[in-house]
Amino acid sequence: MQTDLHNEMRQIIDNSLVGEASPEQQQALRKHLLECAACQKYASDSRRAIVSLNGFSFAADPGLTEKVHAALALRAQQLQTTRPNRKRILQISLAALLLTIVGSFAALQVNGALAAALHLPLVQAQAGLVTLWIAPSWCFALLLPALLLVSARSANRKGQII
Amino acid sequence: MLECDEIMAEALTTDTQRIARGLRHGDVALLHELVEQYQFRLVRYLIYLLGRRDSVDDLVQETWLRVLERGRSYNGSSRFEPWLFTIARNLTIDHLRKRRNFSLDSGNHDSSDDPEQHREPAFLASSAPSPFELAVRTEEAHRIAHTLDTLEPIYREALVLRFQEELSLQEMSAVMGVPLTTVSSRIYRGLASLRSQMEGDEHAN
Repeated sequence: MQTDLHNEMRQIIDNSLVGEASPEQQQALRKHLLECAACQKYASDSRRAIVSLNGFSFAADPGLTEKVHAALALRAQQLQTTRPNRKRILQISLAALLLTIVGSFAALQVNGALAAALHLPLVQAQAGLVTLWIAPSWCFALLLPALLLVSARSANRKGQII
Repeated sequence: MLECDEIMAEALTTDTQRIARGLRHGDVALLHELVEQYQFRLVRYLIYLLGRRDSVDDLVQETWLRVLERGRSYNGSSRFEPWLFTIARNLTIDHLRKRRNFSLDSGNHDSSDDPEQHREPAFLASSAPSPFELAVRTEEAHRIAHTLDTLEPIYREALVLRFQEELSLQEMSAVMGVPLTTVSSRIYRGLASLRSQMEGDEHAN
């Protein structure tokens, strides 16, 4: 039916304007437009409508731009003072890790003296030392960076100005 | 031509990566540069979205502040504009919801032919001049200013994103939060309204 063909071509025109028409569709459309004045007008009106959108000028207020610049500078300064200091967190974490290594080594060295003082077998004293001192120290040292980061972010959120 | 496209794609990727890096580090100088580069387009997008000039300035400022605060969430894998417009859109929706129970769009609107379902409430109508009428610079624009004024926000938005910002359909889908078919549908509806205005003017003449 002729009407169906026109409707189909108009759909292809719309698709083409949106960038969705396949090469085959575009070729069929070009051929049809050579013969159909009504569809030519449809395409022309559509193109004019799109071009007419360029005829508006929405100038940004220079005062607004300056205001935005100032607001950004202020906000950036606020964020800088409240943002977690990652370098400091890293330094503290490394220090804690070093202390844990040294502490663990020292603890194992005095294990013998400790076992004698407590009248415990060496193995039992060593197991107690690892369970009650060395292992928790290592856990804390390894979790410390995460704890510091979460704490800093929590403080940052509370300090944020909405 | 293929080589040229590849070079342009590479340049674009480098630029988006530079922006992502700068935003991750809170680079204020970069932000000032972005404001100078995108301010006009952001204002235009918000005017098309809201259909009015008041509140646009506040939303522009809030958008840029949000860009600074959420800069880490932009990874540079796509263009900066869709991300910027998504932030602006979300802020606009929040702004409208705070004022009244008004929704810019909803998932059900496009399946309905009932314009009353998503017509802008009367209390949001402003007696201030239409921003489109104030911004007219050509005869053709003058013809469609009133149509744009009365067009639904979601169709105006589709027109500005496709034909002014030249976003791809995929990018538009990400900004508008709707499927590709809905994006196309909104573009067609918007275009149909403008075309009707063109045809109507010709008949009148």
